[in-house]
Order: sequence, then structure tokens, then C-alpha cells
Amino acid sequence: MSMKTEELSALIKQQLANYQDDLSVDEVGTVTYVGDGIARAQGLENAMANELLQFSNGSYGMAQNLETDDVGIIILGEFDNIREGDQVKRTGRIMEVPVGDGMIGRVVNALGQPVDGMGPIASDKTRPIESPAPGVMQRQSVFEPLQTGLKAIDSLVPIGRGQRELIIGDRKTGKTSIAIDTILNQKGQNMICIYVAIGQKESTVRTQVETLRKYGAMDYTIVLTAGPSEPAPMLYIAPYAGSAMGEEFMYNGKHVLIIFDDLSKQATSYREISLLLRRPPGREAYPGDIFYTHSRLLERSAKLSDALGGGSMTALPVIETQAGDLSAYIPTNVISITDGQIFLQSDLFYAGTRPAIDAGSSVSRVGGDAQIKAMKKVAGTLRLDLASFRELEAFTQFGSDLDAATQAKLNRGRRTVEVLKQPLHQPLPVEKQVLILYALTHGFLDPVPVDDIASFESGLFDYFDSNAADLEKTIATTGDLPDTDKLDAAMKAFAAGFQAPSATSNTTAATN
Amino acid sequence: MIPMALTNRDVAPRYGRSTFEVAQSQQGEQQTFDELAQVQSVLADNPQLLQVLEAANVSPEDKQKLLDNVKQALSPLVSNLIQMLFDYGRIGALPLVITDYNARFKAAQGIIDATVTTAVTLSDAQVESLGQAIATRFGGKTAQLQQIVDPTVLGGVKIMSQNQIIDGTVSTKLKKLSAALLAE
Repeated sequence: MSMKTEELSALIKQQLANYQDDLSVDEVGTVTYVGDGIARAQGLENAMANELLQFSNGSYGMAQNLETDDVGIIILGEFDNIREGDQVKRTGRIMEVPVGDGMIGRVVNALGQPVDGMGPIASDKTRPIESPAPGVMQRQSVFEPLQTGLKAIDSLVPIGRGQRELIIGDRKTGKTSIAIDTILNQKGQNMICIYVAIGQKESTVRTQVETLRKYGAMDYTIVLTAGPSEPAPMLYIAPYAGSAMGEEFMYNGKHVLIIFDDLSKQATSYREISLLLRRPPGREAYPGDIFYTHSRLLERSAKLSDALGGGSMTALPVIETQAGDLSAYIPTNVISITDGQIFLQSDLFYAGTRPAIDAGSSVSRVGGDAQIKAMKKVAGTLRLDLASFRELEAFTQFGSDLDAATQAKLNRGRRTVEVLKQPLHQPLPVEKQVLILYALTHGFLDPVPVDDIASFESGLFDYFDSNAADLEKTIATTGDLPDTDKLDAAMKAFAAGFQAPSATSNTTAATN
Repeated sequence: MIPMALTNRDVAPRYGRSTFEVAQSQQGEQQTFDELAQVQSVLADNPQLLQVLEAANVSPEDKQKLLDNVKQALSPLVSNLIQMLFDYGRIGALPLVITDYNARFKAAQGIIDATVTTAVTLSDAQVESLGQAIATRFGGKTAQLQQIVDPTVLGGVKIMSQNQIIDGTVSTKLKKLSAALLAE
């Protein structure tokens, strides 16, 4: 491929025409201290809070502490070759990240630069990472459902578009799995997902990206990662950068789901920065503004009014607890900021109840309004049933003689727990969830042995897909339960023909 | 900020300001400035002097003798300043106090300090007009230029003053030009 000389010179001429021969005037300061990703500089008298500054080695920094005679700077990048006495320059800009459609399907770092080796990102738009949250008049109440595809969440702790629902639990209780499954279920739901991995192992992030890619979820997902090997400021700014990317879609009338995985690590990195900047430590050595750090972040997720296009940003922050301690500083803070929490318990997880959602301590403060009618009808009493089952179960551990009513309650409870179990990466559409919950609450599952519930469930779905697809369609389109006589008839027809696999294997074993 | 032990950098402005105000009331700013410049050059010529004055293993009497030598031929104000810094164990802050005094003196006199980097030595007329331009730009009366000759800037002039850099050198322009051409 050769380019003609004339073309080349025409191109250069055009570029030269745009080149402006200005004197460059810079305001500078002198680095007086550097270490641990923090620098202090004298000078820079007019520096603004959060202004982007450039060091002489090309690294950028963010002005954090503006003091009487120096400026505390967090360094976003290489700081090994910054020396005392180096110059640091004002840029007059505040920290921005690229936003827009070009980001979708990419894996980027906290500065919005691609890290997936798929070339530069085609984006000419940027947004400041910190921006004020929508005000009272710019919002409306949450009314559309966000289907996570998990029976236990959509029935017990429903989430609406624009809600902030906390996912909280000990390590290894399936917090990230809930988040990833929720992303997988947004396929074809007109939703853009942003997965912000804060301090997650690079190998874990790689695995998640591969999972998302395998299920075709990268077509509508942005993954933003700030790994544990990156300096603390990157971890600190990552959720704000993710929110900025989400806001661009939200303010254009689209629906966004953003997951912060996890905010405990962001709090820890902010604590590190604050202590190094010599801000006074408070409880658990977190700085005084740690609450504001999270509240201003989560407040940016909202359901916008119709005048602003009606876009929404749903946030699923993740918090890791230590030994189930919900009363630690960061968990209590974030619980009070969010509109509810999904509490995952390690005991349940190891007992095989997965997702390990503790129905008693999990709540959703606004999502109920966003549930479809059919779901409301079938799941209305589920929470109470579960609660009374847990109570009875503990009570009857020692007794043997039970009256029929108690026995029935226990049976129903065991089946409820079984129905709410769900394998990894298999989100269910809402109509199917309604079907199985309908079967449960109307007693169709009572004669089925607990071990066979899973095969009954899959059989039921197959049966409806082939014999009563119109009923499923009614639920999906109208959101209401179809004619209950028809539904009951179809259920009965399937239940009558259902052969429990454990029963058959038992009989074959007996004949042998 | 949590109160911590005051560093020399913290206390220097206090001494500097007091010295300047006393000098002002005695109308001896210029004289004090000149004398402090002498002290500064003495300190620069004898780097060990401050080390000895701050050393723990030298007796106070010996230090005092040394100090008396320095104080000779100085006005009462400057010699009192040095004695006071020594008595309060702040003799290490002396260079910073002098810097602070100089800054105050120059601000009051409208003198602008500037560092000028050029590829070739400037003629006197050029220095004169450049100094005038710098003084107007930074809102002072006169400018004191420190000249640096650096052939790598190729041409033009780079001015550093008051935490600002005004860069009109050919090397910077070439850098910007190459960045603009490579950006596409």
C-alpha cells in the first residue's frame, strides 16, 4: 500500500492549518514529598479540588487536599520515577472518562482505557467522574421490574429499575454469582449492564468476562476493573467512573444496571488514601467522609422523570462482611443508604441452599411496587410461610408426634426451600417463575417427594412449553395470571402424568 | 490536620514576617535585605556552619563563639534575629527565614523574580525589554532575571516565575506540532 506524495502533503497541510501556535502558559508547583501513591506539592495556588494535575513524568494526579501552603495529590499511575523537586502542572480539567456506545462490550480500567487488547475505543464523548445526583424533581418512583431471573430474589426481594439493592454476605457465599446471573438475565431486556470490579483478582475478572461472553452478555455489558495491583486511587475512583458511564445512558432515556463488586474494598482503598493524606481517622480508622463517599455514589442511581426521558440506573452494590457481622461500620452505612438488602448466609450456602438468601433479613423497600401482578399473587404469602416454617422446623426437631396441620406446614416449607434453589447461570424468565410458584402455593407440589422437586420443575416447564405455551405468553405479556381454571387444568394434567424419578429408581432397585 | 511538632518550614514565615515588620518600622528594609544576603552567602560558602550550630556534641559555649563571629558587623536587627533563632533552637530555620524575608521584601518593592531560559545569551537591551514585559505581566515594578542558556531549547524563550511557566521555545512548539500530527 503506497500513498501518493501529494495526498500525504495535503493531509499534513490540513493538520497544520489546525495547529495553533500559542504560547503555552502553565501553572506549576514543585513536588515536596512523594511516596505510597501520594504526593505533596508547593505552589499550584489556584488548583481546584479534584483537579487533574500532570507530573513531569507524564503521570496524572488528582488534587485532594488543598491546604495553606501545599496541595495533597493522589497519583493515578506510575509514581516510581517522580522525584522531590519535580514539577507538577495544572491542567484546568477535572477527571473525566470516555462514555457512550463505543464502551459496550469492552473491558476497561478506572480511567476508561481498554485493557482487553481489542484496540482503541471509538468514543468522542467524556463525562466527569463526579457529578451531582438527580434532584427531587428530576426523579419518579420506581415502578418497572428488573428481573434478576432468580426465583428467590424476584419473589421475595423484588428489585425495580432505579432501585439500589445491596448484596451483602461473607466471603464465598455467592454474592458475585447473583450479580453475574442478573446480568445474564438482562439479555433482550433493553438494559445496559456495567460490572465494576473493585480490587477483584485479575484471574476472577477474567473468568467473569469469559462467562459473560459465553452467554452472549458482553453485547450489552461494560466491564470496568481496578485490580488489587493497581494503586489505591484507581480503586477509589472506579465506581465513580462506572457511574459516569452509566449516567450517559440513563440521561439518554436508557436503562442501566450497575454492579459495584465490592464497595468494602473501595472503602478500604479510600481509607488508605485518607490516612496517607493525613486526614484524621475515625471509627475503624475510616475517614470522616466515608459515609458521604458511598451515599453520593449510590444517590446517582435513579429513576428519571418522564420529562428527562425516563431512563434509569439500578445499582447492586456488594459488601463483604466478616463472619456475618452486619453491624460493622461499612455494612451499616451502606445498608442505611440502599433501598434494601439481599443477605447471603454461609450456613445456608454450605447446607446446599443456593442462592443462599436469608429470607428473614433480606428486604426490598421499593421493589414490591415493581412486581408484576401475577408474581404478587403467587409470592404474596411466601415470605410468611418461610418464616413460620423456619420457626416450626427448629421447634419440631425434637418432637415426633405432630398434628396434621403442622405436618402440612412443614411439608410445604421444605418444598418452598427446595423450589427457591436454583443452579448457577440458569436464570429463569418471570413467567416460568410464576408457574412453579403457582404450583407450590396451590399444593401441586405437596405429593411430590422433596428430592424430585427439581425434575418436577423442569418437567413442568417442558410440558407448558409444548402444551400450554399460550398461558405462559399471557403471563409474560399481560403480567397477570391467566384464567386459573385453565392453569389448574394444565397443572393437574402434568402432575397426573409425572413419574418421580426417585420412585422409579426405587422400584427398579426393589425388583432387582 | 492533627497538631504535630512544628517544622522549620512552619516557623520560618513567623520569623520572616516579624523581621520584615521590624525592618519596615525602622525603614531599614533594604539594609536588612543586603545583610541577610551576606549571611546567606556565608552560609552557602560554609555548608558545615549550620551543621556545627545544630550538632548535639558541640558545647553551647563553642557554638556561641562561632555565632559571635558571624554576627560581627551586622546591624542590631539581623544579629538579634540570628541570636534569637539560636537561643530558641531554631538556627536550622535560618535559610528559610531569609528566603521568607526576601519574598516579603520583593513583594513589597514590586520586584518579580524570574528565570529565563534561552538558547543564546541575551543582549542587555533584550534583557531590559524582557524584564519590563515580565514585570507588567506579573503586576510588579521591576523584574530580576536569572538567565539560563540552554541550547536544547533551540530558540525562543521560556520564563518561569510566580509558579507559572510561559513557554515560547521552539523545542516545545516542535513537540506540540509532532503531537498534533501524530494524533490523527
